[in-house]
Amino acid sequence: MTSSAHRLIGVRVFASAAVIAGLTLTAIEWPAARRRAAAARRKLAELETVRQMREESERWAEGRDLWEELDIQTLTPPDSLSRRILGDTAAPEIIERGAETVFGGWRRRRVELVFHEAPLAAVGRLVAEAAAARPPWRLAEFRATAAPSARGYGRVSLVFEGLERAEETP
Amino acid sequence: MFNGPKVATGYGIDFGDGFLAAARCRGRRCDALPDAGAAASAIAAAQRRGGALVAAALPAGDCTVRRLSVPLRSRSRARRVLSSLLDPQLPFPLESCAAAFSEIRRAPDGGFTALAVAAPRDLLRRRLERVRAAGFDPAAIVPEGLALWAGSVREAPPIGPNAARVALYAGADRWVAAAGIGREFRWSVSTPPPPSAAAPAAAEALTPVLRRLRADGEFRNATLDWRWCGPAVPEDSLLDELRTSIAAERPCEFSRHADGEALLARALARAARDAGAALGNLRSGEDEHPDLAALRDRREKRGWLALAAVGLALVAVNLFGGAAVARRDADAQSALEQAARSVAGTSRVPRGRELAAARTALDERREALKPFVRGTSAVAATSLATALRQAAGQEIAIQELQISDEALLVAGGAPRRAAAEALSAGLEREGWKTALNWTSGAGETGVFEVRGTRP
Repeated sequence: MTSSAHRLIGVRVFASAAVIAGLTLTAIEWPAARRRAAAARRKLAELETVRQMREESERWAEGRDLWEELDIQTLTPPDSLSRRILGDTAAPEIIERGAETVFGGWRRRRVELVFHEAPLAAVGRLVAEAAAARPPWRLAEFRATAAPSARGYGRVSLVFEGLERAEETP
Repeated sequence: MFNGPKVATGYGIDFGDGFLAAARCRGRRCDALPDAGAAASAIAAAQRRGGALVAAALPAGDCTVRRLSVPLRSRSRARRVLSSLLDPQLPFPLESCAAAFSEIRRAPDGGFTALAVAAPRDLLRRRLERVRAAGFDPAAIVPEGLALWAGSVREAPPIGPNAARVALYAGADRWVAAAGIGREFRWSVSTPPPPSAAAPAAAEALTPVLRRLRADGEFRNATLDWRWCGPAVPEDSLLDELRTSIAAERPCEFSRHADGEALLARALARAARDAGAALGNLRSGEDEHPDLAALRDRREKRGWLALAAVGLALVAVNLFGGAAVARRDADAQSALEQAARSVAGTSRVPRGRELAAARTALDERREALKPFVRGTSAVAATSLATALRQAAGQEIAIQELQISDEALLVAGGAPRRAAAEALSAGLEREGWKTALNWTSGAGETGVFEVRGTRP
């Protein structure tokens, strides 16, 4: 047998071995690689979800910071707000609807103001003034029934909600 | 597994008594070499380098060409029986012959046709010795008639599939005629050249060709296109006389091939590039040129090496690809753990529980911070402002107004339905899903009720 024939046999053996090795490795590795790739895809999807959660959590924290950064952390008394807008002509009946402690040493107060007869436009201004106060009073509920005696007047009930530092309340 | 050898450069040697022409074919170019004798050593060097092959012709009179029909539908089986079909058609024993088969094509009846060429080995070897003595070592020896025909139809394509042609090679030591219809070769005839340049001698030399044409029914009524080539084509005046004498018997046209002196050499050069496989290389078996075996070995080796490359590529893809996927998985795991730890606010999160841990921590934080999120909501205040503004603008008298974060009720009287609809639309713009209930009163006036919910 010539050396060329020997070389050709060597090349054939090498090529066959390489192909067999390649196919064997593919048969072994391919299912594992597919599983691993699927796991990586799932983890990346979960990572995206967790990142969205983190952003959401940071937004909430920023919401709390609005209160934390206030210089005065005690709610303005509702009667003084009412007096500022409506004067003494329509003094409301003020009913405390309860308070609860919330996260981080804050408490939430609910106060109802009942006007037996008040101008609706002025009540609207009172709501805006309460929202502009610091800490703000938020309008949670509003009920008004028109007075039969005068147009634009009515019986009004407002429930305000507000957050303030728990230890600073008397 | 592998086809026959193919090379980039082919050399064709047209060799006869007192005449030698050589041509080189490379890429699309095929040119005659100006000094064939001097080119012998350069051609031999090119052949040794392995990128070139040489082809020469076996005189038409030394070989037999037959078109065989095989009534088998399998190409491989048809190929196997070609030798036994050729054997009874040969005037000499097949064992003493070199034979080759080309143009194996599907026939209309479903079988196959093939062109078979055969020549006694002693004639083949004698021809080989003569060519070698001239300084050339051809790897392919092909039938002269077939090479002539191939060159003629390649360089002057027939005008149609039924055009009859005789390509006539006028050499110093022989005249060779190759006849065919369209591009299809039919037969070839070799005759001695005319002893003189006189018309009767030339006509005498053509007698075997004319006799064969008369005997062949395919050519009997056809207008024959005679194409002359070779180093000893007669003068125009003699060609005219020959044409006139042939035209008395059948219509015919005479013309010369462009650069016809080297047409056969060019045809052989083209044939050399695939070692004469298209025409039938008679130098096979025990007479095979060692270069062809080496080229086949090289091709086979390249094929196996390509296969080895595929195998190694598979190994590499699996190893590196698997590692890349594992790294991607590890990176994703690490990033997921880090993100989950930052949401959960802990230093460790159990593997596989990252999303759940983050969700639990987020739910707790949402509950804790809900009052602060809610504290920024101004749904009721904004809706109250909208309701009061709309009511003032539309001259609506509100009788009852109830607003909370989740529900809304506005009731009253309106000067027209459109005013109540405008109020309802204004609240829709604030994000409420509203329902208007209208009851007509006197004229256009009416009482209404708008109820709203947050979607």
